[in-house]
Amino acid sequence: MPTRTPAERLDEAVDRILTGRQPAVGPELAPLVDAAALIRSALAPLPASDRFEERFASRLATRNPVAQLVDAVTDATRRELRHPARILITGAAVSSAVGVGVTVLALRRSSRRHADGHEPASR
Amino acid sequence: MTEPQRLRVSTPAASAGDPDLADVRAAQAHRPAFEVLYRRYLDRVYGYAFYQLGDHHDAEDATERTFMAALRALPSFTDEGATFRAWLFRIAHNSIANAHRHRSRRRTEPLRDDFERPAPDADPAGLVLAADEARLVRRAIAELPEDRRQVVLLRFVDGLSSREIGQVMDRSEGAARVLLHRALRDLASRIGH
Repeated sequence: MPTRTPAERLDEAVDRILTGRQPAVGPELAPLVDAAALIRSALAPLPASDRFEERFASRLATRNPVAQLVDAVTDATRRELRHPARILITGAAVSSAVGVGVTVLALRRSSRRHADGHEPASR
Repeated sequence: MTEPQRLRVSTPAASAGDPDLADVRAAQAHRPAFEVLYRRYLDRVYGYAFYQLGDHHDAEDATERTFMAALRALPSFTDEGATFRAWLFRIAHNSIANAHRHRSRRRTEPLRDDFERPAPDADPAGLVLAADEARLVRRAIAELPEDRRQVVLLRFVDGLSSREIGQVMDRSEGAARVLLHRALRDLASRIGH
């Protein structure tokens, strides 16, 4: 049976302290076990305030629509971008959409400028 | 960024006994069911944040960020490696690291003592002694190097096992044990044991 290291024996002693039992260790670990017992009593559990608990619970329960939309988009993006082929397709689709958008914008601006040029000069 | 990277530890046994798994599955299927996990871990996450940050408001803020990030990342949680609580404390660990970075301009004293509420029938002299000793221990913990302080808080405040601490801190179980051993040796010498 392999000999356990001091770190393993100390870890087991800490387990016992945390469950309220008395650890049995040799003199070399005794000061560390004493320190562990002191730490256990010094670091008392710290409950969050009831006000905070309830306020946050209600926030969790009623998430605003924008956050839900952002989450949905994030989830969908993460799912779609998991595969390289989808990244390429998504990239192509986005590039096409941007290209079409820019072209439409340019055509609209150009036709508006053209129309302005034919307006009567005097009022 | 507070969401965790996919945890690298992939020991099947690590999650085989995950007591939260059924509740995690329920929350993944129906978001409001997350409240069960929230109520179960709120105090522990808050305690971890408070003992790290030393300020109630910062601790509440870090706690809130932790649970919001956990809720967002919950669909991607798998039981292939870490337990749910190791995963959650990994998020808390990142939230607290962010809080430390963001508040560098307004330094607060770590591990304040204003949370002690003695029992009304306790012996006053004994209470003073115990409070002094606790203050000394908390001060010694606050002065530890960051990784040693973390291992002590995760072990003693949150009750995580060495395996789970390894998952939170991105180390092996053995490395987490050695870190705890060093932290306790360091603390024993600081508090005079």
